[in-house]
Amino acid sequence: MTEPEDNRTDAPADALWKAEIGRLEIVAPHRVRVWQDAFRRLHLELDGKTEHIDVRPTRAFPISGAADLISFLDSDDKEVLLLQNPAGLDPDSRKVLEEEMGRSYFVPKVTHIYDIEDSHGAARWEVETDCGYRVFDVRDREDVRVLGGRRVLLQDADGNRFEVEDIEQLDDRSRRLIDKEI
Amino acid sequence: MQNRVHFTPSLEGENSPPWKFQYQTMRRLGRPGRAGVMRGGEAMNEALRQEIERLVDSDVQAALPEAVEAEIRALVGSDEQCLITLYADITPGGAYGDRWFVATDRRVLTVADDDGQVHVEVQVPWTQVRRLRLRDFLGSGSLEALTDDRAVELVRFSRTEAPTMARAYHILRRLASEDDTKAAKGRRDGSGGHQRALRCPNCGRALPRWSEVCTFCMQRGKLFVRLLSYLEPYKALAITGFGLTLVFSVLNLLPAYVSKYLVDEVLLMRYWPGLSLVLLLLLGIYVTRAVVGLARGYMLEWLGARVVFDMRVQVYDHLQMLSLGFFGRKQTGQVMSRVTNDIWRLQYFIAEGFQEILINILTVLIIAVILFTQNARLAALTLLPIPLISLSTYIFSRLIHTVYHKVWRRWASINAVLADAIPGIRVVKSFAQEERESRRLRERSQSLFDQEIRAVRLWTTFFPAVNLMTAFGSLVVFGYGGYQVLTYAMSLGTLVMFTQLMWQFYWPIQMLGMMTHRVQHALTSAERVFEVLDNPPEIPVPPDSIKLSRVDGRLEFRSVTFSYEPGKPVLTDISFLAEPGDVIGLVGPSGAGKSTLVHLVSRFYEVEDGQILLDGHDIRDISLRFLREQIGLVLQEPFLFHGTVSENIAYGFPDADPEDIIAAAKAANAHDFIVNLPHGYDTLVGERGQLLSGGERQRVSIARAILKNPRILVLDEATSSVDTETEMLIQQALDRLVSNRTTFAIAHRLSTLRKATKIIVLEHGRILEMGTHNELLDGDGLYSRLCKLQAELSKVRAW
Repeated sequence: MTEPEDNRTDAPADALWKAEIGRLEIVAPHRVRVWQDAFRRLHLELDGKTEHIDVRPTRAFPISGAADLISFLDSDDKEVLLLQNPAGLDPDSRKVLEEEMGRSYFVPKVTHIYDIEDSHGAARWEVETDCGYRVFDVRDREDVRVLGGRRVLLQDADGNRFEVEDIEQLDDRSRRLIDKEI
Repeated sequence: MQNRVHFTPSLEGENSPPWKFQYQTMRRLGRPGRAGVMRGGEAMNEALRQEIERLVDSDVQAALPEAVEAEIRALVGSDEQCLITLYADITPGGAYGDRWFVATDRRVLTVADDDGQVHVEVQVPWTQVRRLRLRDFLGSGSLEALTDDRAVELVRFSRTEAPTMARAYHILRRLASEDDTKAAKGRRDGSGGHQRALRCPNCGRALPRWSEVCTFCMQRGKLFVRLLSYLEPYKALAITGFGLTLVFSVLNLLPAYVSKYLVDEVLLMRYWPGLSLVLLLLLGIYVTRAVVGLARGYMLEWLGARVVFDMRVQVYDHLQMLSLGFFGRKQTGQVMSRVTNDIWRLQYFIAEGFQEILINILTVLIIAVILFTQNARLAALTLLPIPLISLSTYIFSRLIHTVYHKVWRRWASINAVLADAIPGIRVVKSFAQEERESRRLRERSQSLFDQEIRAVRLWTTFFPAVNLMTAFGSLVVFGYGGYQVLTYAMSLGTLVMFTQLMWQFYWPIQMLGMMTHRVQHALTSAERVFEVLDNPPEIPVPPDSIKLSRVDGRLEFRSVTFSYEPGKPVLTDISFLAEPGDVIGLVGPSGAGKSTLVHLVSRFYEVEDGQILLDGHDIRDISLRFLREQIGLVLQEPFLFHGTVSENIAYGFPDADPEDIIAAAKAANAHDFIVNLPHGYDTLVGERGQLLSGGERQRVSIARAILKNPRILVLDEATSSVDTETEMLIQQALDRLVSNRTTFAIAHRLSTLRKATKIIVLEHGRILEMGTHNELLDGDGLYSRLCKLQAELSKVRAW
């Protein structure tokens, strides 16, 4: 700690550190174009030239959303590009990317809870999501993660993911039910 | 879901579990084919046909609803044979919906069933399919067909269907005319490793991760009975205690009876000698009651403490037997909380709660009998508030149970923070995160406090309410009883007795109300304790397990595959042979599976596929205890127990001769520093050995391994956390240790492997290269690259 009065624990982001280590290459959206070919492979173009074929977009912070960064990986899982602010892409690229992301992060949002049968072991959830009605079993309390007190991430016994975006936005009954689980 | 028609399974019994409904045996569309299933003019090879048959017989195939089947019938030719049918649950648009994927011998197709609207969504003839591709995403997956000019998404499915899809996939790939070897390999890349989560055979719900017991199917009554079964060994004492309790309850009620006599026969009759008789009687009752109460209290307290003692020992013994998997899944704090808090709460219940319940129930019953024999109508009036009290007690107990469960969970989470932060205090301090850790604890304490307040609020509302109800009851008794006395329908003494008994009657009812939460609490704890006990011990020991008379240490891996989580193989197809005297160096990037590989040798986990052989015997056939006795483990972070240096060296051999301990310490290059410690071999190492330096701890643990004299030695980065000089000392010690044994050495620093007779380079759980140092160096593979890199590094930095 260089400044004793500063108790926050930011990354050591002083100028020297930035120069030596933190030289992260983040690409602005206007330099990038994304499209999909007939083989459903994603193509990535930087500044109108370098082309990467069959890339896989992943979010750097899929849960916290701490930064809106998308990492494109090639077929060997090596990063080829780190993209900033994907919303700034041209409309066509954005559409392709959004569709691909929707596929790779299938996390239905729970809109209503019909019932949660809990016996302090596994719990059976019966819910309505933005993708439709679903019943699933949550094996363990640790699969119910509460973030910031209001957002809940769920993982069921098979590895399916669900999300409650904001407990406060749920109806009373749903809220009462989920309250017992968290 | 509702519109799905389920065919009666022909192969499985009627009593197959309900969750299996969607995976039931397939109904074939065409005639069941014999050997000659044709595709593209060539006869399908026998192996593939058999595999399809097996798939059909397994629970992978989905039964088609009638409408879907009709739709397919309309499309396909009469001689076309349906091979595989699968259910998928996500629409192309990304919503939940029913999809049926069908592979015939001519094409693959997907039929959509959107609330009865059945139509064929996609179809691709096999002649066009070049390749199939199964894609794995977070929370979902998809199956694609690649043709010459495009890729077609056949189906999307959630992870629930993913294991089924993966199993069918490798057969589908072979239908897509890929060569067999490739497909067989594809099966090993994980798709074959998919497993369903364990489910309760009774109700079909997924089992909680840490338990093999379905908590839905667990009954409270049974729980109670099981708790009582712990009294079994102390039957005589328990029965005596119960008898004394009965006597005590009766003695409690006698004074009321005596006061009736006092009023009616002595006071109203002005019968002088009666007074001294009453006084004597009461004195006798009080004295007896004190004696009985004392004996009873002692007995039951003793019983409670004893039962809990038994239980704690049992739980701890059982914990030792559980697999590492159990401990990996649970935070240490939570496990500790079960051994301490939950069992402590049970003691409270068995010792105090249980006998109070008994007394109260007995008292209520006896009073009810007395009241009804004295004056049935008045008794009935007295009982008037009982239903109300019972009902509110019931509601209250349900509410309080939930709240207490939350309280319990908050407690466990506080324990988990402590178990985290206290051992890690050095890291905490070095990052100056004390405040953050305090905050973490404060937040959880706050949350615990909030829940406790909720509980307090609940029962501070409950009791005054019940009090009010009983007060109303007393009004009725005074009113009606007073009327009866005034009209000479009842004696004054009887009224006096009634009022006395009335209070003695309401009190136990209230007590029972209060007990409910204690019972609930105890049952919750019992549930948790039993959960631990009901987890089967790690690996079932086959009764006919082999104990080898002599172990040479010849260890062979035969295409071993392993995954912690289904579908994510950590090790794939590992085969190699280690002869006694071999030093096997394991090299590879972090996460390559090096530690997992050596864990498999110790059988901390079971291989998923393949075999590990020790001297030609499958290690699963060898008694676990015996196997582990043959293995010495030296870890990167050696774990020392609280105790002296010599106790730690002799861990596993408490009776070892002091000379042997010193010899082992000398061989481990530990002797010199040990004798320099203030108390020599008797120096306490502190919790987890924190009073010793890292290198010292390491050498103590090596001495421990040397004393054990194992045939197989596992060094898991044993020297990576010490300085160069210490490393040299340790290396010398290890060199002494490895002769004549089979040694596995995991190392990041390749220099430590210079003595290795065989080096295995792992990457992504597969063997990338294997050979001696020189062979690999010439090979220009990953190993030689790493060597060059480390040589570069060593120029700059001394290690």
